[in-house]
Amino acid sequence: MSMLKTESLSIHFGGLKAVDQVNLEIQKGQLFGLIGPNGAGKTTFFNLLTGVYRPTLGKILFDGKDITSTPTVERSHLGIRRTFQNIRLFKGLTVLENALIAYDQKLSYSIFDTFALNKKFDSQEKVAAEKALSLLQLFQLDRHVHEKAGDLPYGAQRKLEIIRTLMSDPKLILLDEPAAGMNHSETEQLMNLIRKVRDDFNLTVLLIEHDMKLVMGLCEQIAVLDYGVKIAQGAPQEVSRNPKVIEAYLGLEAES
Amino acid sequence: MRAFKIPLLTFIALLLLGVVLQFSVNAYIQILILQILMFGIASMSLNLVNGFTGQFSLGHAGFMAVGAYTSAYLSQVFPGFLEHTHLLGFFLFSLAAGCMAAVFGYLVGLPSLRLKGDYLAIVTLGFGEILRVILLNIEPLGAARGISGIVPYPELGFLDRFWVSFAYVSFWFLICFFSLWRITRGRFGRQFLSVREDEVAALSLGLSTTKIKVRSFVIAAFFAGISGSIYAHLISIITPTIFGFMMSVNIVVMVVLGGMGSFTGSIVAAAFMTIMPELLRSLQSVTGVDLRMVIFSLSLILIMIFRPTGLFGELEFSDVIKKWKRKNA
Repeated sequence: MSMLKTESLSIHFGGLKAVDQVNLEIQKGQLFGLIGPNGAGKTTFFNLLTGVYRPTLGKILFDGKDITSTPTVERSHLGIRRTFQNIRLFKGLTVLENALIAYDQKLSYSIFDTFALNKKFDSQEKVAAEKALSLLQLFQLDRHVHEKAGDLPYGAQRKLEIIRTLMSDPKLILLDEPAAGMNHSETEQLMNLIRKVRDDFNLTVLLIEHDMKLVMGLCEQIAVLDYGVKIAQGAPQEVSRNPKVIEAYLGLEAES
Repeated sequence: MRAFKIPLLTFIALLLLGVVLQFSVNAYIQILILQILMFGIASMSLNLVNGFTGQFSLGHAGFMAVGAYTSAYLSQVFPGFLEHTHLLGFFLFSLAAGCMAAVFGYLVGLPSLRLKGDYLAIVTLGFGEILRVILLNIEPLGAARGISGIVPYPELGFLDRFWVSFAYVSFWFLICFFSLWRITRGRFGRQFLSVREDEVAALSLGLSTTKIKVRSFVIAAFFAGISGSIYAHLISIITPTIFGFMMSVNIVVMVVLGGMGSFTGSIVAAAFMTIMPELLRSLQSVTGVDLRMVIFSLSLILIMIFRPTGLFGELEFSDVIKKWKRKNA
C-alpha cells in the first residue's frame, strides 16, 4: 500500500524548474530518504507536499486521496506533519507549550469549557499533557519542560520539532535535515529514535538529509534529486554505487 | 463550582471595597476609580490582540465608540425600560453593545487580519477614523453634538449611586479579567501565542491562523464595546471626537506600558495612565506653568527605557510575587 505518491509533480518559478516531473511512491511504514546536492529542490519538494506551494503540474496522492489542491492546514489534519530546515519553534514559549500546540486538533473542548473549567477541559488538558510528557521523555527533553524553546541547545531544538510532528498521531512525517548541526553520537541517537517512533507509532517517514551516514544507515529506500529531477532511486547500497549519483555529488572525473 | 469560587470571592471583596470607598474618598476620586476599571477592561482586551496574538491594532477606541453609541442610543429609545428593570436593563444594553462591537470586530478583522505588522496598524487606525467621521454625520446619533444626558447608573434604595456604579463596573471588569485569563490558559491561548510566535509553523501544525486572529479580534472588540457602554453611562455624554485616535493610542500605551501579554500589567498601567495626569494637575499650583503633559510623557519614556518590556513584561502579578518570594527565600 502506498502512503504517498506523486505523479509527474513539477513546480516552475519562471524559467527555473525547481522540481520537474518527479514520480515518487512511498510505501506505508517506509523510512524513505530524499537526498541531493544543495539546491536540488528537496525542500521545495517538501513545500509541495505540505501545500506551501501549488504545483505547476502533476498530482499528489496521500493515502489514496488526491490532495493536490488541499490547503496546508487540512493536509496537516489529514496527518502530514513536517519539520523545518531552519528550525521554526515557538521560541518564546516553553518546551511543553510547543508540544501542546501541536496537539490542538485532538482537543475538542470549546471556549465555554475554558470559562467553566469543567471536566471536559480538565480531562482533555490532562491527556494532552501526558502525551507531551511521554514524548518529551522519549526524546530525553523532560528536564527542559519549562524552559523557553529558544533557549534550548541546537540539537534539542531539532528534537523538539520532531516531537511537535508526533503529537497528534500523524501518518506521514517529513523531516527536513533532522540531524543538521548534531554531532556523531547525537546523530546516532537520533537515528535510533526515528526508527523507534516509526515502529511504535506506525509512521511513514520521509526525510531530507545531508548526513550520508544517517541516510545510508537508516533509510530503506532512497531517492536522489538533482536540479529538480529524480536521477535515481533504490536501496541505499544501489544508490551509492549509481554513477549518476556520484557525478551529481562529486562531479565527473577529470580526463587525465 | 471551582470555576466560580475565586471570581465570586473577588466580586464580594470588591463590593466591600466599594462600601469603604463610598465613605472614605470624595466624588472626584470615585469617578477616577470607575474610569480605571473601565480603561482596565479596554486595555486588557486589547492586550489579547496586541500582546497575545501579536497583531498590532490601533483602532480599539473605534470599538469602544460602537459600544458607547449602541448603549446610549438604546437607553434613549427605551428610557422606560431602564427604569423598570434597573441594573438588568443596563446589563442587557451593555451586552448588546458588546455584541455590536464584536460584529464590527468580525467585519473589520476578516479582511484586514490577512495583513501584517504596520499594514494592520494602518488599517485599524483607518477604521477608527472612518467610524469617527461617519458618526459625525449621522443625525439620529446626534452628529457632532453626540448624545448627551445618557441615563446614569441608578441609586437602588439606600444604595448610593457610586456604589451601584462601582458594583456594576466591577462585575464586568471581573467577567472580562477572568474570561481573558482562562481563554489564554487553555488551547485557545496557545493558539493565539502560536500565531504571535510563528505563523508558518502554526499553519503546518494545522492551525488556521486567520480564524485564530479573527477570534482574538472579536473577543477584544466585544469587551471594548462593553467598556464603551460603561463609558457612556458613567460620563453621560459622548461625542465622536472622544473616541478618536488619541484614545486608541492611550489604550495601546497602557498595553505596552503594562507589558504585552500581561493582563494584570494592563490593569496597573490603566491605573497609572488615569491617575498620573490627575496627580500632576496639583503640580501646576507649584510650578505656575502647565508641565503636566511634559512630565507625564517623560515618565512614560523613562519607564520604557528602564523597562523595555513594560512594567510586568509577560508576567502576571501572581508570577511577579512568586518570583520575588523565590528570590527572598
